[in-house]
Amino acid sequence: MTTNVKATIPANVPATMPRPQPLPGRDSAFFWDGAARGELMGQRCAACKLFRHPPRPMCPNCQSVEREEVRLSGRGTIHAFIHPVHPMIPMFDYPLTCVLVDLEEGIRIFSNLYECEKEDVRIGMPVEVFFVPTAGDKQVPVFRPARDAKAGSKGARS
Amino acid sequence: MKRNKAVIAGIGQTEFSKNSGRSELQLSCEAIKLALDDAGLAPSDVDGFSTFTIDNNEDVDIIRSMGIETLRFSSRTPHGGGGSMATIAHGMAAVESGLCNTFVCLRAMNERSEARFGIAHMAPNSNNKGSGSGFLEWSMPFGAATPAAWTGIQAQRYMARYGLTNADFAPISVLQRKNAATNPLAWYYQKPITIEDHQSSRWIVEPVFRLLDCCQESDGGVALVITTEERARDLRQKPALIAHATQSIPFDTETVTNFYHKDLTVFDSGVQCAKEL
Ligand SMILES: [Zn+2]
Repeated sequence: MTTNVKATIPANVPATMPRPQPLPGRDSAFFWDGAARGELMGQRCAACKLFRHPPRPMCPNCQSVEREEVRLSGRGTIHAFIHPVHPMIPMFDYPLTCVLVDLEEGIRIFSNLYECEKEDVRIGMPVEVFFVPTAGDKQVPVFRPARDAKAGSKGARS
Repeated sequence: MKRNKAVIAGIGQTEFSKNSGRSELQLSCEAIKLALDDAGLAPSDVDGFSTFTIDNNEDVDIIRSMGIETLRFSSRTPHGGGGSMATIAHGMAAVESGLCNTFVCLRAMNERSEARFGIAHMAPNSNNKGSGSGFLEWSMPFGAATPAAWTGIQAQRYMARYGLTNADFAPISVLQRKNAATNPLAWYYQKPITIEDHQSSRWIVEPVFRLLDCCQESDGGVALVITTEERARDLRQKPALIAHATQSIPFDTETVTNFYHKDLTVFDSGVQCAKEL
């Protein structure tokens, strides 16, 4: 029963439901509104200019509540990654890759990686943002290998 | 001034099962009653209480069910299971300060038959952040919906840094289950696992966790009774002195994860607790 367990994991399982939509709070609405427009937004302290993520009302560095909402470059590198296998959630395509991305602006974000085979994902890999739809006509930011950085990635879905 | 040292004077636990067949409130009451019986105390002695924010039982319902006269102090510690030790710190502080005489630390849950964490719950409630679910806003829309996924991505960075594979985690699971298998109330009583069992169990999160890296999902309840060393002299059990207890909620941590810490291979909460102790 325990032999050959790998074979029991189906190779490709497409989503049967739309991706869940984000549920913004008052302090994070700008981020998800930006994603719905196709823009990756970041929060920066207006006083000391420190970027922070996830968004929060006060700067942990200088305690200012004055903040700026800045469009980010969408470029970064993979800090860590996993492939969740079980339970398979019907709102997602499997195989699924979850990543932490270190963005150029110095903040880290949790997301997904697409257009990259499971075996090819590496820490430090340069990635770029794009957006995928969710339920409720929203979008969320996800990543793919940076176009100018690496050959060998093949188109999967967008 | 002589410090009134806190001790653990009683322990109670229900059986651990896949379906307790009774309410979480009943499990709470049974675990507390067992702990009080173990200590030789009555519900009317209890005047302090702590559990986790992620706990479905209301203090008032426990009081009403058990015949507790009044609570002088009650608290909840964040971080689910990761905050369990903090309930002891709260109990220690309460009895050593004189605020309470008999303090109960509790955890009771139908984690397998009702509120199962291993199932992906896909409806985070942004209005319910005080219960420790606020971080779900940032992981749920990307399909990370279980503790294995949240902690797994942090462990992946650790594995990459130190050149580890999942096989390196096997001895940890084997040892933990060897210890657990000595508890007659455990689901896997007298059923330890082998390295081979671990390595042939199915993937939960590649390349980090297999099924046997994950904890049992169980229904059950556990309670501790904390009181002063002086009071415990007259009680039923030889007390266990609490040398010290503490908790740590470091900067930029989350309920389960430390995604935004500079170095994911260091567990800052553990470092802070170790310094304190
Ligand atoms: Zn600032």
